Amino acid sequence: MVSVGNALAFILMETAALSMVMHGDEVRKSMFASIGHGFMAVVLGAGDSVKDYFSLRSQNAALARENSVLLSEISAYRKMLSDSDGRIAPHPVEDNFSYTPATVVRMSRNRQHNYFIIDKGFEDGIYAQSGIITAKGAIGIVDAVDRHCSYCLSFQNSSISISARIGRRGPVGKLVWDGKTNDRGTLKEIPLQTRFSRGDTVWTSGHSSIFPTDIPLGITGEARIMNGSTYDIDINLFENFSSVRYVTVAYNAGREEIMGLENLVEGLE
Amino acid sequence: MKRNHFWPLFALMVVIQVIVCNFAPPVPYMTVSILPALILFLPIGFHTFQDLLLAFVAGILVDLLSDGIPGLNVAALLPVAFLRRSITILVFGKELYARDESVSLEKHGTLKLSVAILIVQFIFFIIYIFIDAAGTRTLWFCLLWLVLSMATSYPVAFLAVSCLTKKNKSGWN
Repeated sequence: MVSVGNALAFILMETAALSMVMHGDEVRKSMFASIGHGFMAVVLGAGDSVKDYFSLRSQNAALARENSVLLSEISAYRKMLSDSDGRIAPHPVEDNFSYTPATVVRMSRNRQHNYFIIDKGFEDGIYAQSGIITAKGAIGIVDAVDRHCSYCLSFQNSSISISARIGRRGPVGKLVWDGKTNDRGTLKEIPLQTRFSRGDTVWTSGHSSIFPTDIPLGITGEARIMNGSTYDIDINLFENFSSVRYVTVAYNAGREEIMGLENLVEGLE
Repeated sequence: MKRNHFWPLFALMVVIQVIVCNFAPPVPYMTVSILPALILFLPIGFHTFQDLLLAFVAGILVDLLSDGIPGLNVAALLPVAFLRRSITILVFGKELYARDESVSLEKHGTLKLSVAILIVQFIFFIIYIFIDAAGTRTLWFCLLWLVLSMATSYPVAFLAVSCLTKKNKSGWN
């Protein structure tokens, strides 16, 4: 039967394993620094590269669509400027965010804690806790940074939530992945007194310091009352995670100041 | 199979598991794992401490190389290694240890082999899903995840085990 020594060895090893699970972020960051995920990205990303090669046509079509939207926006701004007879100065929006384009070289989609690796690192100006966005939504957060690649937690990760708002001025809730599909999420903690209808657009709220405000995320679907106090609303995301390739890293230069202030307040409490 | 063939085969199975973790499951609520069956069918002569050590090493390698949650496979696999002896005696009888012979498909049949595989898979997936879901998913979602994982992992594990124990009636001795 089981000896005391074996039982002790089991308890010791199980405790070590559970400790690793609980401190997963630190373990992952040290792994990222030591075993070189650049190598992992090259090896494991080979399959993704082949798949991407065959989806170039659809990628080009998506980029062309995005280009036309940007051109029409520029045209609208130019018209607004000419109509105003120079009374409106073209001020840039001061939102403290800087943007860096990047390419996804490896992305997992087949588990509850998914991640992806992008081809930009700290030498390219990428910082941890930056948001990863596309024209069709927020797709993840930079978790650890190497020289020329970064490890990012995907929105398709049960530990990630994005602060989102229904409409431009509606209520704010937590948008989380539904755990099953590539293009659905759930907007949680929406107060019962809120009025919204099916098909309303959901945007980033700007309440977090990670994602810029007003990025379109998806449209509302069916709503359910949870515990008699809030709504959980199904969201059909604009971004389909099965075809994400080109992304933009958004870094909030004012984030450290915000975090410092939050820490100061917590310290006073 | 001779014991000197054990280590290359064990390493090969761990590599297969890493590949499976990275590329195989088509949906996020399904986990395919042959690790519990691999631990269950270690040579009978191995002591519990050796089983635990191998489970720890195999689990950590899969966790590191498949970029999952560090420690998840280890935490789910260690109870399988700890209970291996009891499960083996329960399903195949005490005489297996008395005669120091390993399990094989020819000697013990499909039914007993299947029951043993399903027991260890159940233990493994219950812990795996409990940790991975960690309060973020509903009970029904977790049950679906458990059923799908067992249904897909069982044939793969059975195939792997029957291949390993096929050529020699004494299994991994």
